[in-house]
Amino acid sequence: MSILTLNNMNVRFKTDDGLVHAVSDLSYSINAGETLGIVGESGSGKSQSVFALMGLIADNGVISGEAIFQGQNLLTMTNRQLNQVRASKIGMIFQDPMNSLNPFMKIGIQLTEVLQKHKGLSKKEATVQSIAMLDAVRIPSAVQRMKQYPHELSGGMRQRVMIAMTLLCKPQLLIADEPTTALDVTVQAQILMLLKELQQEFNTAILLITHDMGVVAQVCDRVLVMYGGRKMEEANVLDLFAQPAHPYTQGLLSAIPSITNDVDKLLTIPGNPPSALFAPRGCPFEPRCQKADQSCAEQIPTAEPFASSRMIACHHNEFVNCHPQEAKA
Amino acid sequence: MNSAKLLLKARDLKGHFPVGNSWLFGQPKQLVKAVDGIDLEVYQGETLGVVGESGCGKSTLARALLRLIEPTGGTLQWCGEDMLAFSRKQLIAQRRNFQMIFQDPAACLNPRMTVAECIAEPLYTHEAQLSRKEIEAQVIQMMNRVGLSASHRNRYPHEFSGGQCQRVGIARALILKPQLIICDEPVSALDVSIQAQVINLLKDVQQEMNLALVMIAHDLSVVRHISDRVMVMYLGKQMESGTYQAVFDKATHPYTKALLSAVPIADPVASRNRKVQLLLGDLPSPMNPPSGCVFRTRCPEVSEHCANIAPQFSGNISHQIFCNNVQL
Repeated sequence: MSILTLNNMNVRFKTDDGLVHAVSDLSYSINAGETLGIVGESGSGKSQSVFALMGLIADNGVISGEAIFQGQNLLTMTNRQLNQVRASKIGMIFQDPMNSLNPFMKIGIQLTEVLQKHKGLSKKEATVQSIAMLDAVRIPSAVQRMKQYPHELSGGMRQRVMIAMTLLCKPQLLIADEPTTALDVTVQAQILMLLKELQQEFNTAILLITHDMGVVAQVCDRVLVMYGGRKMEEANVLDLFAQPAHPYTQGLLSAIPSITNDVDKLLTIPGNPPSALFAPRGCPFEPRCQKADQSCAEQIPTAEPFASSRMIACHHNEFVNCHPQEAKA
Repeated sequence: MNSAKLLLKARDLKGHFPVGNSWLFGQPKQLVKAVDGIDLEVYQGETLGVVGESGCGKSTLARALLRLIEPTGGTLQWCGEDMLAFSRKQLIAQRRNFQMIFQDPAACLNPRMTVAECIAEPLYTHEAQLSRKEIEAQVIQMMNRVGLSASHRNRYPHEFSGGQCQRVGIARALILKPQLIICDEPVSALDVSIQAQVINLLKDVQQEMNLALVMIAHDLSVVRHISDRVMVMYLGKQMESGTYQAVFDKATHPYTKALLSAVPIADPVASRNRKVQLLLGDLPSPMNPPSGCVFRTRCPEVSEHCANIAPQFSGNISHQIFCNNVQL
């Protein structure tokens, strides 16, 4: 059952230089207990697309479209209504845990505050539950940690505190925006494993935003590839890696060096990512795409379904309109 | 490999920093041993990769190797000469042979200089006799070589994307035709598609100019791709080193094994089937490193004597490890 459905969401920013098209025509849905990965390079609109959901967009932002969460459109909610949803039903983890924790407040106060505000618990009950949650995210000596300030913890530990904080109200949806990008690989492995375990325990849906294809391969069930603010491809994680359909996805996967095999030369995508200032008339990937022709420059490809629950936005896709078995052959 | 010329040789190199002064005599209270006894050699035309988690001292090592930070102990030789004995003038004269590329391409370029001026700046210092025309010709040639359009030479760094700024940084490092370039996380600030372009560029110019590279990075797949030899560091110490095949395919040290198993593989089938050796806890503070073997607090194969004795060296020319429990 889908718990969040986005329909044709657009995010624009009015700037002195012109209108920035951060996210265009984005649609997807995420089911309970599922992990959906959104991958893309910097500037692809992946972070802004979730900031818009949580009402965290900058003042010059204009959002259109709809995002249905439990029958309500998140994009038209007032701040007051959003506060009922944020933290208690949708939790969010940010990239840099130092910037998302209050440096002047002890960990314990920041944690109990969430429960007191959203669940109306007494301070005593909230403390008990917070300590239990710190235990659940494997923070050693949780009782002492409650009395510490964020700067006394390491990066991995702070990210654990953030995860504990978002899980306190047992949200149905957890949005994780590059949760492990600032961490070392050994700590990243710990955090990813923890997220997966907690997901199974609480049946939380996770929307994971990342640029790391390795992280996607490890934890996601479904993947959405974004480029230039648009959805390029959407597929089950196994299908996407076994048979990337969009030229951009293909390029992205072949540009990653392997840890186990020798590759003589990495295949690259020529050129640079697009500027969001000038909305292209056609496909945003057209200037860098090897398959591009006149139609790509003139017409924006729409996302078309193909094979088993896959989608692709490309004028040159031989897979569209053919049977899944044919596609494999 | 051994027939190639030995460029840089470090023995027991140390980079210690005093932290905090006691209130009375100004004596430093504690030492941060960022780099603590590193041995390495760099030969002409090869790439030495240095990997480790943040805080393991790899950037300090990069700077100490070029005397951008003065090493506090050990020896450092450049082409057989004692580099630590160079006077300031000699050092500046020698710097044309060893250059550096930094992590944040935008931050290491002067925002008030055009990219042509950024690239030409080393020439003003080291080849003062060149005329403006000659300098311009060299800059244009170098910009073309690194894949920048020469018509953009009068633009400022902020007009370029991250990948292009990194190309400017590479052009600036190459313009004096050095023998060694130390790259401190040259691609970690770049997107995947741009990262591959920059890695390919580095490999190409290396072959053309018979350059030696020291590649400092935390991304193990990048290091494997570009390196001939690899050194794994942890808390300022060497854990394992050797040819890239030895370190990546026959990893023996418990730390290297754990590090490799934590790297996410971009293949859902392989990454879900493998066993991840999770390291517990975080990196200890370099201010107060564990006694004996610095890795013992997180080591899955720790034994009692690790706390008391320094890790033992074992191995041969192509593969070396430092561990009390595992021998090569």
